[in-house]
Amino acid sequence: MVGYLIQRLLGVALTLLVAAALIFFLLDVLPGDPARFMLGINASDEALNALRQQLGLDQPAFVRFGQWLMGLFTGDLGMSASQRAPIAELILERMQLSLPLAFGALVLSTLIGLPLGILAAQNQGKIGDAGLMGLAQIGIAIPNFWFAMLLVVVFAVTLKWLPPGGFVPWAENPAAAFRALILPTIALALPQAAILARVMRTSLVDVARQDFIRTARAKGLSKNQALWRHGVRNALLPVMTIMGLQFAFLIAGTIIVENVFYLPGLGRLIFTAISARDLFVVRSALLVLVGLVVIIMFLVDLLYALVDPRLKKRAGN
Amino acid sequence: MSLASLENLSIRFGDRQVLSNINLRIEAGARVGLVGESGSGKSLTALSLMNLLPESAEASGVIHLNFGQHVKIDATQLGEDLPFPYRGAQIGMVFQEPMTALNPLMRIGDQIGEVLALHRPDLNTKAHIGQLLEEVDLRADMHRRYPHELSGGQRQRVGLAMALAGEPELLIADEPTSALDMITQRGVIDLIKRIASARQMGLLFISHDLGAVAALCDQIYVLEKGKLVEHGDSQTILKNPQQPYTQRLVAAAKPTKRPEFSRPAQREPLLEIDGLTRQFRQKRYFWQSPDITTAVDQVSFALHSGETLGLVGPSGCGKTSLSRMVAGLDSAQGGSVQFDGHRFGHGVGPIPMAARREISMVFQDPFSSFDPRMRMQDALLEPLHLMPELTTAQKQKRVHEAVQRVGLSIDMLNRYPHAFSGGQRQRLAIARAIVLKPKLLILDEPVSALDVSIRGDVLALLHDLQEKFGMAYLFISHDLDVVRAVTDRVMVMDHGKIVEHGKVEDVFDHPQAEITKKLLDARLTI
Repeated sequence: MVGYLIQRLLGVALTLLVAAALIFFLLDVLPGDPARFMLGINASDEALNALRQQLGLDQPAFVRFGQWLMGLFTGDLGMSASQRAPIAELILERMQLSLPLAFGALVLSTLIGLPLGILAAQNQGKIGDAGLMGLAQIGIAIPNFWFAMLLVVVFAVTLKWLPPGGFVPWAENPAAAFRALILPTIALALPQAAILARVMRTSLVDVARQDFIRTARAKGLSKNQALWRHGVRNALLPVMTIMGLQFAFLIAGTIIVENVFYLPGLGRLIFTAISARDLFVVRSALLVLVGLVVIIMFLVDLLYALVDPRLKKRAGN
Repeated sequence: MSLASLENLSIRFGDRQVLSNINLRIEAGARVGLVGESGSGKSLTALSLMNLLPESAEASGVIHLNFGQHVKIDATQLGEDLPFPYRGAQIGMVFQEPMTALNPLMRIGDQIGEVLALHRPDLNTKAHIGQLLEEVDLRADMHRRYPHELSGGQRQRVGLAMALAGEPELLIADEPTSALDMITQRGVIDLIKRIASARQMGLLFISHDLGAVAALCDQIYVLEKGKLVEHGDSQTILKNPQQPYTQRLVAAAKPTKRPEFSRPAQREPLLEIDGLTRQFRQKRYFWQSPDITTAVDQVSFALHSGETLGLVGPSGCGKTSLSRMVAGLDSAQGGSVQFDGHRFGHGVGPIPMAARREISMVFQDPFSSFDPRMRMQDALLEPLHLMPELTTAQKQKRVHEAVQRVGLSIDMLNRYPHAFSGGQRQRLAIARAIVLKPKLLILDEPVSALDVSIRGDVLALLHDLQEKFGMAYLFISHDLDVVRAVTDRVMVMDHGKIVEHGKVEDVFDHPQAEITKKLLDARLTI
């Protein structure tokens, strides 16, 4: 198991290094000079050169790549040109919002999606199954920004239960921060729940046809007992992969919902940084996203090995 | 009063009648065999006794059960809503597929314990689970294993232990050994026999294999297309079958030697294998040196045109690995193949295109060896891309010839694979193999998945084709009777090596190697 972990962690490190190189060199070949962009088109050559030197832009690319990598370890990612603040601080601040939002949406979508999927599979071919899957279809089809606006209209504007948008940092007022995240979490979670419900249903229906479910029935278990005791855990295996992908999407892909609710999240940070050509922010924020996704996929793989004894063998137990 | 009996049991799906008026009795302690081909309704008969019929099945008739007291069940009432406390308790059941019949995520001890928790909570202890495992010839400490850590035969024994855990008075075994190799099959059948008599259980044993039924049962029921055609005690049925269908089954279970045909004398063999070796390297971590498993170890042999060479051995001995190298599908880690003027193998290079079209393969499973989304027409045309010199019309003609040659009609070719029966599909697999007019045909268990009565026809077809075209056959099978009937020479393989090689009569009548003796002992003959 230790050998397996070392091998996998080395893989993770290598993936991150390749991703960092890709991000760095792709952004580096993009046209546009950060120094000129910061100083404006009327800046003098001396001022430009001075700033380039200050930013280290006069160094060869691989040296700057090395400096950036070092910075990732020391937490010194430089200053954002557009926001005049340390990049590391900016990213950390946004993560306070994006991580709880993504995690909350994942938990909520799991709590809604999996039971509905199981219920539909239990009633396979009956009216309940058709109804639930119809709902799930609608849940997948409705764009989440529209759904987000609907939530705002109902729960914030009409009922006035929750704030319509904006975010108060946790340190200032934890209760308000939590309340601010409720509607965005729901808006993000429901479409994901619909996807999960469909995947869970399909997977469980497949598992229900397996021979070991028939064996379980032959032991004297009822149909539902057999499904719960032997079916669900087996059916969860493919669902776990989808959940890992969803979490990755939730961390990076929340930008539309962030816009509807005026939330300063990681997605918006990257979006505004791109608009402002603040490439230093873009590359570091992108790498943080890639890092999160790679780590999540790694955790999903570990979870797989934990749930499925057939993989544990390969993992060297 | 018998332990269990069926009275006029009929089952239909919509307007398709699959079982008609079955009358069957199982006395306490009796071992009853139910024989029939796939689709004859054997399994449905068993499932109705378990109240596990598919939801869409409509049953009628009466089921009598007599465990302590007599219960009469109206078969129309069968279904999820009918209270049926006998399943897993007084009636235990073992299924065919040892690879998939156990939950892969659960320790086998827990899977056995589940039955005890349901029916005998007083016995749900580690010690008792250990006893059950020992009863089926497994070690008590195996209870912590997961199914994938067991062999097929061991898994089937776990399935048996689960069926026994509820202390059944009736054990139903549905093709429990059909997926196992000969030696393992023999072991499981002997085990079931021993346990059934030790526990005084009634047994309903379902199989398409008359040999297995004969080894185990004292009474036989023969089922054909949903109807019972004959029943009686085993010896009478086997020695003196009355119905034509039973006669065919009995005859097919004893394949007869095909007549020899004359072959022109040849000095040069068509195929000459020299020291062929296949190794698998596996490493757990990239910094480790790999573990090397040798699947095929320095194998050499020769094969002439028009000759059939048998290859037998226990499962996992390397038969398939060897055949794949001969066909050029896998590369060798040592040795070479000399075939019809071409040479390939380790250090020589991959199989040349010109040799590829002279070697064809037929595989065991006619159901999975065709792409389900490809029309038969296209599936049979596909190998002909190896002959770019032919025009489309010529290719078409080749396909038609091949299909007629295997005894099928060319207007079937527009259908998809699912529209054919198993026997037809295997004929089509043979047609696909001969469209190229190859010189060597590798037959990897070509009749093992077929019903016994079709087997004879397919073997006869292979024989005719060989006589007509003078192809050489490399015939792989676990069924020694078939091998004896169709091959001239035979090689016995064990742990990657050829341990015995000679004329099939000599090898089988005077076996030298231990494994040959074991294989011959495991045969289930009637």
